[in-house]
Amino acid sequence: MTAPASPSAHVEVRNLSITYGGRLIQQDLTFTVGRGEVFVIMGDSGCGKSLLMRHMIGLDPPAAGEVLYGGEPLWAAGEEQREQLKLRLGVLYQNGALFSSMTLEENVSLALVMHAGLTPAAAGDVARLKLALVGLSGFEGHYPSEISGGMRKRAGLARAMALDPEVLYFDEPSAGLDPLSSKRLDELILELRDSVGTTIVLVTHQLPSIFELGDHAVFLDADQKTMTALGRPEELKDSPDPKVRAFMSRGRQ
Amino acid sequence: MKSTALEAAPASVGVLREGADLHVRLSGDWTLGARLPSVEPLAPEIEARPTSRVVFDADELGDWDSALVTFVYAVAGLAGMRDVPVDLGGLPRGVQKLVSLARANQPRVEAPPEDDDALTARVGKVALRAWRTLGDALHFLGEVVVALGRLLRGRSRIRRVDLLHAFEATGIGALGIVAFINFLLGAVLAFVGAVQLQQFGATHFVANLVAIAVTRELAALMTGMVMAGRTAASFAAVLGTMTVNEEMDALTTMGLRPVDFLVAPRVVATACMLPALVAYADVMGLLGGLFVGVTVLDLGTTQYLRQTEAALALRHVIIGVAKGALFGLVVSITGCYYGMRCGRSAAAVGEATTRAVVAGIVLVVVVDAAVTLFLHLARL
Repeated sequence: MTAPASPSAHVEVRNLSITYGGRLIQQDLTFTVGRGEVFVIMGDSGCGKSLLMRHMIGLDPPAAGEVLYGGEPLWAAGEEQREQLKLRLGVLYQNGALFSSMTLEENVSLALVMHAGLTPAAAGDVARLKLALVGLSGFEGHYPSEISGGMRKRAGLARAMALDPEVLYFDEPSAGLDPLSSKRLDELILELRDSVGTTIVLVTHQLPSIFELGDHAVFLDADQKTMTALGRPEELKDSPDPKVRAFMSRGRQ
Repeated sequence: MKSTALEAAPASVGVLREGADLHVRLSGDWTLGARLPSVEPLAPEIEARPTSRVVFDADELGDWDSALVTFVYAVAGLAGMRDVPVDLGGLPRGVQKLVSLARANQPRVEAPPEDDDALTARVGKVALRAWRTLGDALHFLGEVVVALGRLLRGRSRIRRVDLLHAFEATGIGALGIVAFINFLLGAVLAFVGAVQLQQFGATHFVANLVAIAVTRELAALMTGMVMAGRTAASFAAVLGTMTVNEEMDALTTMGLRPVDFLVAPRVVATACMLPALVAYADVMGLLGGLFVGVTVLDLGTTQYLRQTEAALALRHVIIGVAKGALFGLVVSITGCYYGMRCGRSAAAVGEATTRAVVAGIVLVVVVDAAVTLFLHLARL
């Protein structure tokens, strides 16, 4: 660790390099996510933004570099420590990734029973509360195949929030949702941040979400294989990089 | 070169040199489906002599569609490979625009690796892949052993309901098909045996044949095969779909190891249920033999049962049931392995399932042969 973490830094990505199947995807990624902010990872299709998220949540090991949570390294740590660190993260996957053999309530209570040591009954109470928070009370006994795509995503959010994570990751939250459902999900994300103070990392290329939610954003360039912009979304409209400018204005210059 | 055709003039191409310029003259109707000149004769023209640029003349061009654009694009490609500039000015505006659009996207620089199609290369590739799979499978086997250790010491995080469900799916769910197949197996054995034994007037020894063959060898083998088709396929498909659906990732980020949570319960359930199924299959096979013996071969029920009792040493049954446990491990670990290593598409799930079944059946037979050889050497 070279520099001490600033007091507000929550997640730090340092000199991270990402490879996929032996091919270099991104390199020299360095940015900091402040505590309680909404941070957006954006870029065009295929730039590796979902892959970056997988590295930040401990799924894929980086080719080089480190990810720190409150100053604690994720990858330099041993497996036990990494498991502990991962419990402080919640992830909403692109299609919800609900366990199809479990009801919504079982999906949400799984981590509570396994890690928080709650009895199934107590975990069920918490699970019903989390499902109610995302507007799914009454659907506790449904299986993922019985509800719509938007509901699955909200159920996935309820599951991601089960252990009251410090950092919540969203992989393309509005992918496959109609504009209204996607706006509702955005509002839900903001409410979460405002009420619990959760740090939120958003992987998306939806401009409305980026401008409405993002406090800071990083832009990954697929051709240059590194980040080409970092800052507030409004400021990035006037970025010196023409590609970032075009992206932020949807090609209108 | 002057043509005065008014309708349906055949497409033709002529080449003319003016200094270092290569003029390509297009005439006639260039439409898809018509007989079109090939690009190939132009290649040596561009290559052979120094050419400063390629110019298209289209004064006598009739109708045109994608056929002409394809031709011009190919010529421009040939010229581009030799850094010869191309003048499209003489072509219709539409053709110019389409060719420029197509050439605006530079082809990707990284060429796909060339496939060496020689027999030796293919054999080598297959061998290397088999070697990698072997190493990877051994690694997986190690993970499973560690996970089983944690499960048996009660230190892994699983849901008891999942374990019970695995027991139900691998055991009770297979009762019907195992009974059906082994009953028929016993019946067929009795028939085949009777034909031979009748020649020596020893028909009642059919009971001995059925009893030993079924309990020691065939009930376990058939049940293992059925489970490879049923259980290995189901494990590979379920775990593969969970991989595609990011459920594996979700488990991992929740701090639950997929090998502990999903694989170990399935392996334990299959390894426990398969011996029980083999014992059950033994009974069904004997009943099949009895049925044929009594109804077709005119042996008395009592006579048949007494003969069976005399022939059936306990060690035959134990060997068959023990093989069942071994097959249970083989089938469940194979199915889970292909499911866990599934790619991230729907097609990959199908492929994983196919491989799981094929590998499951092959491994069951190989293990069976190895055990039989071992028992022979150990004189059991």
